[in-house]
Amino acid sequence: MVKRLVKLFTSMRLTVVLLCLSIALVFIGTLAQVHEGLYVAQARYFKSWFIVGPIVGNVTLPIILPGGYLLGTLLLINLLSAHISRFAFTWKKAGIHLTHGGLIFLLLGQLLTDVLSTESALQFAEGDTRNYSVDFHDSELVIIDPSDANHDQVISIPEHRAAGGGEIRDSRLPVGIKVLKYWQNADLFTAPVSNSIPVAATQGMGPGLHLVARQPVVTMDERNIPAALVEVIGPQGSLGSWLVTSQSSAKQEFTTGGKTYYLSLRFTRHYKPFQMKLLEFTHEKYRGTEKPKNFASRVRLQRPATGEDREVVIYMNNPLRYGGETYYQASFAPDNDQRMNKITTLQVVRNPGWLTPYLSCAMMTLGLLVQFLSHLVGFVSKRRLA
Amino acid sequence: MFAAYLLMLTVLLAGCGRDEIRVYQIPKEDPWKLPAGWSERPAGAMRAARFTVKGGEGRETDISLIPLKGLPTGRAEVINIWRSQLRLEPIQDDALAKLSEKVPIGSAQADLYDMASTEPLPDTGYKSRSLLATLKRDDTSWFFKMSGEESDVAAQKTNFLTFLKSLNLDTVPTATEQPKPRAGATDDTTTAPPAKPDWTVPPGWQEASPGPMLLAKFLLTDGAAKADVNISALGGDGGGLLGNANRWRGQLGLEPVDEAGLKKLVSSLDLSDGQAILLEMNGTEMKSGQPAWFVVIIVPRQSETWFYRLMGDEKIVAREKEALKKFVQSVKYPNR
Repeated sequence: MVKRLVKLFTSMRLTVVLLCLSIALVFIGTLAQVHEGLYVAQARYFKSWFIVGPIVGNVTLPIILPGGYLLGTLLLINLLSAHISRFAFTWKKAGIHLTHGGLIFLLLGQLLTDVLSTESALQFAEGDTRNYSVDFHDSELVIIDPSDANHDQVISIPEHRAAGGGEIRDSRLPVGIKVLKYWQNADLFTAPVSNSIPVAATQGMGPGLHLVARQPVVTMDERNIPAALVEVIGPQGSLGSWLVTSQSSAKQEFTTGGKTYYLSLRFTRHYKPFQMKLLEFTHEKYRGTEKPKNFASRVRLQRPATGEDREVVIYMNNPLRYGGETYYQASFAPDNDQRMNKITTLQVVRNPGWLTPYLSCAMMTLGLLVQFLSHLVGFVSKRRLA
Repeated sequence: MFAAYLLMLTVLLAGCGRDEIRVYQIPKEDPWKLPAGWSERPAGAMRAARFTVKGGEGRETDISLIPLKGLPTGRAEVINIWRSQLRLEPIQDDALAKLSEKVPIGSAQADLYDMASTEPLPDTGYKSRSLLATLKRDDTSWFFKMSGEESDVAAQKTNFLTFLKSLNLDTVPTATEQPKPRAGATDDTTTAPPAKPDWTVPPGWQEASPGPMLLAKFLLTDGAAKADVNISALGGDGGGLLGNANRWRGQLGLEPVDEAGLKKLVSSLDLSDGQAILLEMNGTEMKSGQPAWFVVIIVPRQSETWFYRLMGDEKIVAREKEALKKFVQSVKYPNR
């Protein structure tokens, strides 16, 4: 049995099958972006183990296909197993080892990037100070304990957990949270509109509001605004139900055990050990046209721990690289002309694995070069001897 | 190579941790201490924050924080915007000092104006009162306003002053974002937008999906010619008539006008419970280069201003102008 498994995982046939499936996956996944949107398609086809019901053209196929994670992992196992069982290290094969090492490093690096990298945005208006950026897509259900005089304690429940419904219990939570209803994308209104339902919350801002469930968005220039109806369960039983939504940052509170806590759903925040204040946003246009010439954010960067305090200008093609992150000038509010305090958006990218593609490509190039040169030298030597 | 297996496993396990509950501490970012009974509400356009507190007979008292960049705080013309909402006579600059008292906002001093209508207002049916604290900070003017029925506001005045004292303006965001931001434009989005009022839509107007900042949009077509009606509601005076008029003139390639010039362009339109301002302009639409006609009807309400803009092909606008007037006259606003 073990022998069979080893034979399977070390076989060249498996490599070819996996590569063919990878090509098919890239093809189907690319086409799917038309109907499912870039973000959803990436998550469903490439950042998944299996794809249930892939969409080709307008047709949903009733099949299950291997996802990007599964193919990548199998390829990696295949490559590593072949190396362990088949190749003994010799200087003669150093080039091949280096090339394969580069490929393994590339696969691992991409996995590292996928798992550890984050993309978020820092959106603020002139005069605002921020010490966090906000995720593009993911939300978090947070319970904040503001009782300490110097800091707030945040307990963050990922949206995925809340989306699953049911009751969330954890020793770090002061209460139980029962998700009664969850909407992936919803709009709130202060009065009934077509297709709206009254919000069935008993506490907080929810009573009196009306909710319209929307189809999840697929385009990149929109995003879902999730909402949930949650019941807070204290030691003595239910404290009531609240509507939480990423549409509003309004804090809602509940009291249990003599302590008051804040409850909200918000786009996941990535806090920094420093803060930025937007001093000025400028948007120059070519004279007489609406074409942007340059847009720039002048920010003040302050890091209390080190005493750092300086001004930085972030503009197109001139990002700020700081604290392991890169801050790009991404966009601005379309109605800035009508605003007193202009709003800017900086894209914040953290990618600890950003060097791996460069290193792995260098390894593979060097490996191929070594292999080629060793063959060339051998060939030339043989000809001389002959 | 086993090290590589191990690394892969570690990375995968780290990835699984993304669905875990996290606990972390952050520096205090509470911008205020809310008095008992106050509830934070979605902020809405122009406001940095909004709260309500229950008053008598099911009424609500509204508290808003409004930051406006570049607007002077200590000028009668600014205070008169709010006085006009209470149907009070405008005042002159030299009368300001007598009407205000100093109150603390955080560590700063602000001017507080206490204003009450002399008779019940038509849109609420009761006597209204507004407490307005103004403070200039850097180049932003802050307006902190509590408004509601006279006795409700009186009952909450002490709470309002305590709230003002607790404010930490460093952590109050000066602007709220669009309801549905683009990718990359994130952070807490605001508002439940104002509810659509009841209105009678003229024949031939096709309702379309409103864009950001708009409450409703209608399309009017005649062959290839097009025009549209955009409806929006903004807090306060929505940026002022002169500022808005000159912005629209800019869109039509027209030179800006001063107050005197503006007076010649506006007329009034009678509504069932007051008057609206009607403004007309002819020009060339900058985006399309086509001649365009622009008719806007501005309806000032107690805490917000409604804009009905008809713009596009000259013939359609000329034909639909009367329909727009009737449409605006048909609007029954929701009680907010």
